[in-house]
This record gives sequence, C-alpha cells and structure tokens, in this order.
Amino acid sequence: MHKIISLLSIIALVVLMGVGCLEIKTSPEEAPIAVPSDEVKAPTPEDIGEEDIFEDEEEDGVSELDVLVEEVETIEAEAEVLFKDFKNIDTSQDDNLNL
Amino acid sequence: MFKKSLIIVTIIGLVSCVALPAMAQEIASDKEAIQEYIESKFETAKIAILKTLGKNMIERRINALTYAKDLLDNARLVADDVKQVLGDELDDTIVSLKALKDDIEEEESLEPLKQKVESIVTSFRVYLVQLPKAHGLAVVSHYRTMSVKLDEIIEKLGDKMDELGYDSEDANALIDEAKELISSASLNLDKAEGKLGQMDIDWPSQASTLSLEAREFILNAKGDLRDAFTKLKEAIAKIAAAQDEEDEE
Repeated sequence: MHKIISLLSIIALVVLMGVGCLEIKTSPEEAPIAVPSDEVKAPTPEDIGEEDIFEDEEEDGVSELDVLVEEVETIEAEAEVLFKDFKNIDTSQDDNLNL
Repeated sequence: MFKKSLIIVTIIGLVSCVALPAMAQEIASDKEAIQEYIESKFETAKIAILKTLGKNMIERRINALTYAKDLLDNARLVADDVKQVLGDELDDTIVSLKALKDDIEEEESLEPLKQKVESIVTSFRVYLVQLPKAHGLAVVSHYRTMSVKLDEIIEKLGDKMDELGYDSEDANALIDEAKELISSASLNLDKAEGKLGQMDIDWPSQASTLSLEAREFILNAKGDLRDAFTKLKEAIAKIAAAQDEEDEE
C-alpha cells in the first residue's frame, strides 16, 4: 500500500514540476540575445558517414583536407547560431515609450 | 520511511507550484511595468515604478551591448576601421547608459524622470541600430571566414588532383561551380556590410529596412556558401574514389 502511495506521490511530483516549468515564460523583451552555446559543434566526417579519404597522409591519420572540411563545418554551425541571434534581436524594445 | 518520502515529495511539489512561478513573475515585462505606471494614482508610486523600469531597461541593454562588443572583438574578418568605430560606439553607449542609470536613481521628480527613462530608447536605439549592426557584422565576418576556408579546400583539391594525375571533367565542373558560388557569396556579403554600415542612430526609421536588407544578403551568401561546400564535398568524394581505384591497381 505504502509503495503505491509513494509511486503516486512521485507521479504527482513530476506533474507539479512540469506545471511549474511551464509557468516560466521569458518574454522576448527579457531575452533579447541568445548567447550561443559552447556546445555547438559541427559533426565530424565520421558522424555523417564520410570517408577519411587521405588518412594515410599524415602521422595523426587526419589530412589537411579533412581538417579544413571539419573547420568549415564548425564555422558554418557558429555562423548559423550568430545569424539566428541577429534575426532574433527584438527591435520592438526600441519603440518609443510615451510615458 | 513512507512519511519521510511523503514530506520530501510535498516540499518539492510546493517548490514547483510556488517558487517557479514566482521566479517567472520576477521576469515581468516592461509593458506590465508601464501598465502599472499608467494605472497608479500616486506620484511616489509612479516614481518608484519608473526607477525600476529604467534600471531594468538599462541593465538589459548593457548586457546585450557587452555581448555584442565581445562578438565584434572576435570577428576576425571585419575591417579594422569599421570594428574600431563601432567598438568605440558600443563602449561609449555603455558608459553613457551607466551614467544615465545613476541619474535615474537620483532623480526624485516625476517629469524629468519620465524624460530620462524615455531617453533610454530615443538617445541610444540599442535594439534598433547598435545591436543589429554589431551582430550583423559578426555574422558577415563568420561567413567570410567560411569563404576563405572553402578557397583553401579548392587549393588543396587542386594539389591532390595534380599529385594523383587525376583529371575529371565532373570534379573540375564541381570545383568551378563552387568557385562561382563563393564569388557570389562574397558580393552578397559586401552588400550586407554596406547596408549595416548605413544604419545610424539618427535615422531609426531607416534602420529596420537596412537591417532586413542586410539579412537578405546574408541569407543569399549563406545559401551560396552551403551549396559551394556541398559541391566541394562531392568533388572530394570523386577524388577519393579515384584514389581508391589507384590503390587497388
């Protein structure tokens, strides 16, 4: 019996936390700039199933070309995040106040 | 044991129901504060609301400007003079906003306080001009860096093809198409930078249009560079296949 009540209590807790979280709404005015996450990383060639075509060329098994491809993917991902920030700037915050 | 878990569950449940919405309440919007100000009948209350509103508006702007300044400092491919001028503008705005914040905190009369709070918007145009300009230039710089890296890939591919003695019409066509797309991206980025450069605090009504136009050019450049990259990856795959064949022989 106690186990059932404990289980029901835990379910109730999860529901309550969910409701609590839903209440947290940040208005666009309050969150004008999304700081890009440090965790944004481009997929590696292995992730997207590409061959490491010149793997025997260098000691560490990674060719200059592979490094460049990876760099481009990283830059592209970063640029994407920055562009999103740029588009999300809430210009309505500069509407005249008329107090 | 059962009682303990029940107490813990109840406490955490209460925290979820009471504390989290309370936190959300703290993030009240400026509009709510302004509404409260309008509805308030007492001057002292109006002054208190305006001071809080002004403080919040300024702090938010300073945080956003500091972040934008950081972005600009790290934007490697923005011309130094543009970077210097805009960087100084952002620094000056931060200093002026800090001074205005102190001024607002010390002001005790309603009318001058109203004007000072209104000037947070009208004198700086942080969200309409300064932030889009800094962010836009940072994006342009990133796509220029991408463009430079794609050029390097083209160069390395040429070297690799020479080394293998590989001459394929398909691979060459892909590389040529990539080159054209990179040139097109470069033109679009120049145009975007031009539009961003024209944005001015004294012309707030123009700023939105210029920012939207810059966005369109960046969007075009982004598409060009993505297509160029796809073509180069196809070329890399072709050369890799050629190398595999050679290895098998």
